[in-house]
Amino acid sequence: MKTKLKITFPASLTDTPLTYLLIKEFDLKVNILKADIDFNNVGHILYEFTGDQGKIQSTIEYIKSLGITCESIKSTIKIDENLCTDCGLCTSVCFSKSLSIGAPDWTLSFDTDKCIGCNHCIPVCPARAIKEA
Amino acid sequence: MANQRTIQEINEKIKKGVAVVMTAEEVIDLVNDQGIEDAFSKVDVVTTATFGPMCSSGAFLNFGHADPPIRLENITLNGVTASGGLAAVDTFIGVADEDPNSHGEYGGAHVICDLIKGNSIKLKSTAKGTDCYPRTSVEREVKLEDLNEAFLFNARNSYQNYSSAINLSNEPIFTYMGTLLPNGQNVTYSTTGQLSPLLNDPYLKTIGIGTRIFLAGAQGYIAWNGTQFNTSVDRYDNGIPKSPGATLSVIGNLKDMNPEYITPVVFKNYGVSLNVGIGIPIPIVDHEILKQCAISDDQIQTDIIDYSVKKRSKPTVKTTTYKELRSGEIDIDGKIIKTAPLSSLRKAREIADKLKNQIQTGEFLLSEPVEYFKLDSKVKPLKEEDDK
Repeated sequence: MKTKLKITFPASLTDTPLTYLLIKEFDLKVNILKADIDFNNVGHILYEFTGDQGKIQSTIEYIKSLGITCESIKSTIKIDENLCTDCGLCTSVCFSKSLSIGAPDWTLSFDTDKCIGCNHCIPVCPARAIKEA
Repeated sequence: MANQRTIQEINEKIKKGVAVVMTAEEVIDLVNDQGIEDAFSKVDVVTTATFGPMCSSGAFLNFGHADPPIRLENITLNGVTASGGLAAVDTFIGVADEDPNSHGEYGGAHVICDLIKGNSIKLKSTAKGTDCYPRTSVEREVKLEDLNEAFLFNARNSYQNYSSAINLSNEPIFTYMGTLLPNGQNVTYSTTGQLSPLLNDPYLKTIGIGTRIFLAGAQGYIAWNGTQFNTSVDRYDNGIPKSPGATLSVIGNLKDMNPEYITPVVFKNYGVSLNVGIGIPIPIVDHEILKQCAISDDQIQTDIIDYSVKKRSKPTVKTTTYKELRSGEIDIDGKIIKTAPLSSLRKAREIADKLKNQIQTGEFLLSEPVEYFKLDSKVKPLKEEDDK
């Protein structure tokens, strides 16, 4: 089971070696999908964990106990179905194939499990139907 | 068994509610199962459709006169510049003009679609003032219902066999065919293939000036040939042009349009355009036209062009079929590359079905073209400076 966690470090904790702590404390299989530090010195990490829900739950509580914000998310994008015309152009830049379109019905499918949070689809969507979640 | 019928005869059937109408996808199976002769006796009309970006669109609008009146000159609609070069209170707004404050996210296409949705838009204009039009500025919130006339005019759409795109350079490029990834990692294509209007009547035997069409939910008309109209193009044996061929100019009343079938689009680092939904009925007047309508995606070939070449004439990387493009991936020199559409087949099918239904219920009658298009039209490039 894969779970995506969106981590936000307050400026004072941005230098916390969180990934190291999580692997050491919880023996977690961690994949860092995205990491950056913004101009307010606030740190952001998008993790994908593989493991059972119990372990993930204790991980979330541990991260929060450090004073770091932690949110479990399905994907980094949301699709407005009222704006989407099912053109399919977003699939042209989706490396993970989480966005797909095809026979028989040619309506857009979005598999959140496969989404790696690259967000390339957001500026590509001509209908502006895809936004950051 | 008769092997011909006239548009008039088909219209009589439509009025009696007995015309048989099929979409260009449905008719493929009928012809494959029963052969041309039997199929001809069973189908009167085939509906075709497309829903995709058509940049050469705009709308003529008439606002009515203010008191005292003004000759609208420097005109903006929701911040988008519209032409001040027509009569006093007429304007033309092109879909690709952008509001400079919107960072390319709001343009003429949005204004037109806002009007169709019934939203208010802000008209601002200044003028020099004349004896007959003394006023020098005006600012009003107006809705579509407040305007006298509002009609869409599109100078080029329904492109016959538009080429597909790839980028063989090592940088991403941002085009009206979408974002093309470096090193040929994706291919985009923009037509509905076997459902596409002009691929079903490649020699324009039934489509001409005056043909009534489904235009964004309204009943519109083909007004003229489209710009860059090229009917002298090389063709495959089945009549399909080897490169982009015929195009259409179309016209229709904004007040009758449905926002489901006309939507604004924005292409990153390129600009604004308009998705226009078009449905064209093809009267099955003889065996020949039915044969054309029965051509399927595997028989429609198209070129994949390298858009990274910054020249007018771009090299063809591969000639493929719509069947292969529709499969989601394509083999180019042993490399499997993802393919993605730009025009919505789901919407196009909805339009073809809707038009089929309108014809079956007698709501939509076919029209005989008042003039047919020439088959020897060529396209010229812009004259070079040193050309005599």
